[in-house]
Amino acid sequence: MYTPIVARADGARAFAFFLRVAMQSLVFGELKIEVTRSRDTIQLDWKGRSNHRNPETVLMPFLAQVTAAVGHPECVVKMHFEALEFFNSSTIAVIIKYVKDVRDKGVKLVFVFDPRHKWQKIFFDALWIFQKEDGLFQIQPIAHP
Amino acid sequence: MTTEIARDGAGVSPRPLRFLLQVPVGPEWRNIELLRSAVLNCLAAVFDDLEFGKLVAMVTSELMENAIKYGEWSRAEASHLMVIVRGMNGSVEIDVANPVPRGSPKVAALEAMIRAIDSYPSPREAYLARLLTISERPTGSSVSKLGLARIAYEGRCRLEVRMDDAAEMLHVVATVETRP
Repeated sequence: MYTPIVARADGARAFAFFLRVAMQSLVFGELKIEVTRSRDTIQLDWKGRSNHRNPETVLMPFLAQVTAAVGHPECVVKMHFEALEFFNSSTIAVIIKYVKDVRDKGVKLVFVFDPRHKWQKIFFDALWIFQKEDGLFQIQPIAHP
Repeated sequence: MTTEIARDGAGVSPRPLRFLLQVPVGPEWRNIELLRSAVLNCLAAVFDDLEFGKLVAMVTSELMENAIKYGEWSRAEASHLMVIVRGMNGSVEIDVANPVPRGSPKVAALEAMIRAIDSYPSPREAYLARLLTISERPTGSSVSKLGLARIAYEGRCRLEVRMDDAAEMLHVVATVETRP
C-alpha cells in the first residue's frame, strides 16, 4: 500500500526531506547518482562504476530517503542506468532488494537502460521476473534512431 | 607480470588465438578495479571487441571479489591472490586463486555452490532463482552470493574449482567461449 510521507513525518520534516533529496546527488567512490526532482518524478541518473565492497551501507539509506521523498501516489521513481559503466553483484543485490521494497510500499519504479551496451541488455532482460500486472515496476530500453 | 600474445586475427575470432596474462596482486579491494580495467582494455585490444572485453573484465572482477572476501589472509605466507587470463584457441579462461589451507571446508562449499548452479536447466534460470531469493531476504542481509551465478549467466562461463594442495591455493576457473 502507498504510504505518504506525511504519515510518518510532520510537514517541516517532510519539506526538509524533500529539499535534501531533491538537491543532493550521491557520490560514493567511483559512483555518482544525480537526483532530479519534479512534481511527479524523482529521477536518479547512475553514472560511473559501483564497485564498493559493501554498497548496501550507503545505497540502502540513500534509496530509503528517495522512497520517503515520494510525495503522492502518482509520483514515479525513475532510475537511468545508461551512463553506468559497471556494477558489482553486491550492488545488484541492493537494486533487487529495492525493487521489492518499493513495491511493498506501492511506489512506482521505472528502470531505463541502454540496450546498445550488451551487459546492460543481458542484466535488465533478466528483471522481467519482477514485473507484475500491477504495473508498479517497469523496465524501459531507450530508443535509438 | 607476463603477457605473451600471439594474435592471429581481429574480433571474437574463430581463428587460433593464444595469450597469457598472469599477475600476483595483494588482497586490497582497490586492486579489483585496477585489474578489471586492465583486463577490459587488454581483451578489447586483443579481440577488437569492447563488449567481450567488458564481459571478461566483469568475470575477473567478481572472482577477485570472492577471492578477497573468502581467502585465508590471516596466515603470514598468504600475501597475494593470483589472477590469470588465458586465451586458448576459441576460449578464454579466467583463473583467480586465493590462499586456502589444505582440507578447508571452503573448497567443498564452493564446489557445492557450483553444483547448485549447474543443477538448473540453464545458467539464466539459476541466476533468476538467485535474484528472487535476494529480493525476499530481510533488509540488512549483506551477503548476496550472486557473483558465481552472474558469471555463469551474464558471463556465459563454465565454472570449476581446482585446489592446489601443494601451494595451498584455491583456484576458481571460469571459461567462456570466444565463438558466438
